[in-house]
Amino acid sequence: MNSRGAKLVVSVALAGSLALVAGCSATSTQKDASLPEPGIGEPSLMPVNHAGRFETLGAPGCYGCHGAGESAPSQLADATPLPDDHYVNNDPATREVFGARGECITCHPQG
Amino acid sequence: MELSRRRFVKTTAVALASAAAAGTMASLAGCATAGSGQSTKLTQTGGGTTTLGVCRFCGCGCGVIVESKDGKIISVTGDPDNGSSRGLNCVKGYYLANALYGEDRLTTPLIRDDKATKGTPEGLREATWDEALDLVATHLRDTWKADKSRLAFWGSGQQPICEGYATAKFWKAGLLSNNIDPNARLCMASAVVGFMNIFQTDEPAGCYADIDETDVFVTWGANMAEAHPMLYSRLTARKLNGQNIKHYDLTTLKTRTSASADKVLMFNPGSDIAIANAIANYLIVNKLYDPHFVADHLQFKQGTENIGNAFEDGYDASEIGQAVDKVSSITFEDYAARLAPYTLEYAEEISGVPAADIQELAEVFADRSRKVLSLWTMGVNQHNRGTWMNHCIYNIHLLTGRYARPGDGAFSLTGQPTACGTAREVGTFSHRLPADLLVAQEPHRRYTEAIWNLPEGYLDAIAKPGMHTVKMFRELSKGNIDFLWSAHNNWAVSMPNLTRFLGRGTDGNDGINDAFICVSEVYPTLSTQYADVVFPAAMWVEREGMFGNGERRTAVFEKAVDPPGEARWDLWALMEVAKRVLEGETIGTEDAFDCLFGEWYDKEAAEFKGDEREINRAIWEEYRTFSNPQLKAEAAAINESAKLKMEAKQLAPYDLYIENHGLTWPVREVEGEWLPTLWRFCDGPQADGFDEFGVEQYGEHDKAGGVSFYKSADKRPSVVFRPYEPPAEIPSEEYPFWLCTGRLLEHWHTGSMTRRIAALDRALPEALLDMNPQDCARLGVNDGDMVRITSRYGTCDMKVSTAGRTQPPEGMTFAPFFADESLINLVVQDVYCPLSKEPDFKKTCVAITKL
Repeated sequence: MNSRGAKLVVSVALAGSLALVAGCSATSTQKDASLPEPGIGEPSLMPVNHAGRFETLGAPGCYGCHGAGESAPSQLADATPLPDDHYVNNDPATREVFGARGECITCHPQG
Repeated sequence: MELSRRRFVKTTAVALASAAAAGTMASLAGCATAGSGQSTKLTQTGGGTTTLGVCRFCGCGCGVIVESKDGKIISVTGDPDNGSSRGLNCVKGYYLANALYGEDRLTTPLIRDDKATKGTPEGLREATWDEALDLVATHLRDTWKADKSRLAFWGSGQQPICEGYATAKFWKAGLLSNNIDPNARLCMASAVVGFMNIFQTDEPAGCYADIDETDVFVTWGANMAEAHPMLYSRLTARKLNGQNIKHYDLTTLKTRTSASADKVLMFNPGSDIAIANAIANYLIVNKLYDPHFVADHLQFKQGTENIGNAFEDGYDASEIGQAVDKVSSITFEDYAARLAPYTLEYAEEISGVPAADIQELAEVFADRSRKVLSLWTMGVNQHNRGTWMNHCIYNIHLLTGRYARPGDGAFSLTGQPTACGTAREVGTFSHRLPADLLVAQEPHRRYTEAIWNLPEGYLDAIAKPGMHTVKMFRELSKGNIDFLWSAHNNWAVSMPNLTRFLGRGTDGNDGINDAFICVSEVYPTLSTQYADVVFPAAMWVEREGMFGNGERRTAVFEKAVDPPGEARWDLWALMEVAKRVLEGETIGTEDAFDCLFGEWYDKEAAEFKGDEREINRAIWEEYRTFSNPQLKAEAAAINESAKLKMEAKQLAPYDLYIENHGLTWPVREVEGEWLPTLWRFCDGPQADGFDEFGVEQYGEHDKAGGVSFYKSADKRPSVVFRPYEPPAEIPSEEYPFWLCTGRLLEHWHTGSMTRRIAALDRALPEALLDMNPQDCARLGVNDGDMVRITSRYGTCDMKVSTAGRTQPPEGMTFAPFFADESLINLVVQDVYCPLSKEPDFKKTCVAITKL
């Protein structure tokens, strides 16, 4: 994981600022209707407006909006929360993404 | 990085909560329920039937659960009980349900009446199976009878195990021909020849669990993030969850894999050998190697050098071409002396990598308190000195005792889903027989005759290897092949030097148009455009089959749905062709077809003597006799007298592979249970995955490192000195750029399957040429411009990207090969490693001009 991601995290934690949040809200909250609807069990593609996000921010750039389940709700109404099976022991309450699931673009490439 | 992922997720949650207006969870609760549709359960929710499967795509061999309903597959998800993947997949695996349902799926046999239509999308008409089979069989038989050097089969590392076994049996014992070679020749051949030269046994000693246990990753020319995504996600997980885990990426251009590297060692193409030798030299000069391991386990050799390159068709038969495999024994001191010129400074001069970085990497190998795992695939294998580079990586690991031990090893990653299970283990190569046996070895032929119930001496007719892949297509282009049958591949897109092989050059090499070509396929491809007959095949789980992945795990994929229209199981088509071709022929006193296939197939009734499960099981049982000689007395006798040690690759009974969701060989029967082996040659309890019985039967206990290489000559793997020799061609004024080709995540190989999946096509719709921004500025080319790429082999046009998935340094370019509209292989050289015959797809010199 690159250090840029780490720095973002630190700045959010320390400053308690809306920096990351602001980054999220700049992203459209609309579902990208031009992308194919995923079937059962198919991981959805990242919408076009997410271009370059993972490459620059790494997984922390995803967690800000999609992290956790009911315990720490997604920032935006339309941001799909990470499903249970992405968490250690399938339990979102652990707030810990199961290691190998952290390479988000392996399954969720850019649409 | 200091902040672990877990703490991040918690931290963010806290930050978000406090940033919200009311600062309580309740006010945000409304947001949480807004996400729609995504199932958060692990199990399938479609209400259909589930069957066991293995992903159709790469060598990771991820297990999958297939769900089908009303005759159609509705979902594919990860199988948590598959030991290779433990429930993980990549995007391609998850979208497999769609792969079978492209609009233009082939459902009837097709025949081309007018050869003039070859190379166009037209000209194929529908036909009955009888007409198609008769036509193919007649041409095959005619060629066989007239001159069997003029027939060929191009197979695949994607052909299921039992189908490959039956094909090899037909070709080698039925037709007595070695003109059968797989597309794995383009993929793993250098690795295979390396394994056989060094260890006298193919395939890695370690397993994927090494990724979860190692301390340092070293990727050698391997873009795992794109090509072995499931394994890469475990690499990044290990980095994150472990203490002080490091990753060194040796590469010729930055990729997504470089993102996790602590250090990227960007080297000049082809100089990887110099770097590896410099590391070995450093270890020896500074006495940082493992002297006990060297004393207990190694022997030293050097081989033929200055071997040139196979530009000309006559290379293999030339004096140097015939000498490339020769080696002679030397002492450790001799080896050290040969390495002496490879100082850090010399390696820097050749490679462009700073001496300090090479030294740092050498120190990593020297530090015995930490485990190191080397990983590589095409960057090392598709290399004009690919076999040598495989040798050089193993040399480092053997000198430091880092092999066959958990977390500490050299892992040659496999590209295709069953290059191991089929091509390599079954032996669908021009020089092989099943289970690591070779046509050229007399005891190996006797052993095969014993299992195949052939008269003794029968296979002496195939003692001489046949045509390897590049030779096959070179001869085809010159009109020296009259019959070609291909299956589970797309040669018209994936072969290098397509300008020659597709007859598009100016030198009259258009033999492809005259030859009779049968292509077994599921979709129309560029290859079917050159076919005289197309057999529509059952795809993936439309029939039962087995794959063997890169960590030696053999696994079954169950039949889930029926094939569409008249598409049939490839094995059925093979039986129907074989019965026609072998009509009236005998092997000894027996009818030839019945001798080879009579147990499984009723040729009069034109059907199998059982359902697909029973037939797969029956074929498997015969095949596994090769590694279970105790099942057949004649075989056991030869195993004993010729000391073949065939149990080294022991396979278990068929149904256990279903029960256990795959098993890694050698699988040992222990008190009625069959136990897999995770670490070959590593002494320890079989129940924990160590090679207890192999070491007990053929090896030695209590040697350095607790390993015993019982399959190697004298139980000593060979450290062979291999010198740096330059690429076949280097950039010149006429062709100033390097062109490297490869794969990206979303598309498998030539895209014939994945481009028909809407989501994957959407994610990666076109093939772009990644270029360095400074190079573009000099050429006056902008991102998105079309350019013409020209080599001495051919030309093609592509769109340029300066913000692509790879970041090439100046002078380097990268293009994926999944798009037949750009057809990058028109440009790529077909020179190959002289030992493995594997082409170098990574180092073609090209000129680039703006269109």
